[in-house]
Amino acid sequence: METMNKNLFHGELVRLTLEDADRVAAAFSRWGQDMEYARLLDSGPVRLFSSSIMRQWIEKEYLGDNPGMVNFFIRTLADDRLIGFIGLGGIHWNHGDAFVGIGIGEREYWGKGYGTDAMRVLLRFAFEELNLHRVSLTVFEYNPRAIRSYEKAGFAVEGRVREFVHRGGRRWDMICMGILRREWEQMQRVSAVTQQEAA
Amino acid sequence: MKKSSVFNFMIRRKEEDNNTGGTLVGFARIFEIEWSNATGQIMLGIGDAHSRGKGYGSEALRLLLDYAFTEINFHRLGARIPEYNEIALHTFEKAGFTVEARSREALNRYGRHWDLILLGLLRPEWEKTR
Repeated sequence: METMNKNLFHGELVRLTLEDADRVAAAFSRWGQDMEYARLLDSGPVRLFSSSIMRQWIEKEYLGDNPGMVNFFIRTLADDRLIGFIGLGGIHWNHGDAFVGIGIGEREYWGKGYGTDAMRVLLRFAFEELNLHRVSLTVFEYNPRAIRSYEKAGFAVEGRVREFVHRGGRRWDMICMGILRREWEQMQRVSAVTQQEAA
Repeated sequence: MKKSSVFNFMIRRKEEDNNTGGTLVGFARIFEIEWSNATGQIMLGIGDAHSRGKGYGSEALRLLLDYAFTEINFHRLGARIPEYNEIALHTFEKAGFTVEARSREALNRYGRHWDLILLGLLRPEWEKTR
């Protein structure tokens, strides 16, 4: 099988990595201080975290020994730059369902396909290696760039959790999206055919 | 990074002669609370099969909603119910909840996949039901 030889963690623009908390904590702490990034990422109130608190959280929680999570960092293939993170959480192994979360902390990489590429790599891992049945995500309605990226990666909108976030003096919906294994497989078949036709 | 607050309750059937010590029939809880957004998730269960179908769940839900909206001042409450639990879906919709999303085939039970249904109730909607 050809795919056995491919590096499962490499995309076209990025690769997924695992590295010590020490190497990434400073970047995480800096990204967290970008208010726009923080509010796009999380519904909880934005908070400041020191580098050392970040490092402890990354070590104990993000990279911790929790069977319900598989987490990575994202580096560019071109110049090995650490630009963000992506991971699966809330994995219900009996149901074959998991949530994906992604953040691109370095803003100059927003809107250029890096997040979508990382998501494609993660989905391939989820479906080909973890054998999940579906992957879920939530995104705020005020993050249209992310919504487009997720749609490109194959996610479908499944509904809206109304008025979930209260920020900036108004309420916003949280959008639920999901991709099923057979939908992802269909996308792979379509792109394989397209590649054959182009060759 | 912080643990979230939880409100746990037990449900007891009121006996006719006495307000305390009634039979334990189930539980109810408010969890996944985000204080800054004033949202929470609700779950309840009537564990004793003989006690189901008697309206205890509906009344417990009503009491829980009263407490949540008038004491804790939530803006919205959510619930996640498997599509095979028609009784729960009916109970929550009767209490005013709206179906907001379907996580397709999120559950694998009894040899097949089922959707997980997400419901929500907003404060203004709840106020209309009183």
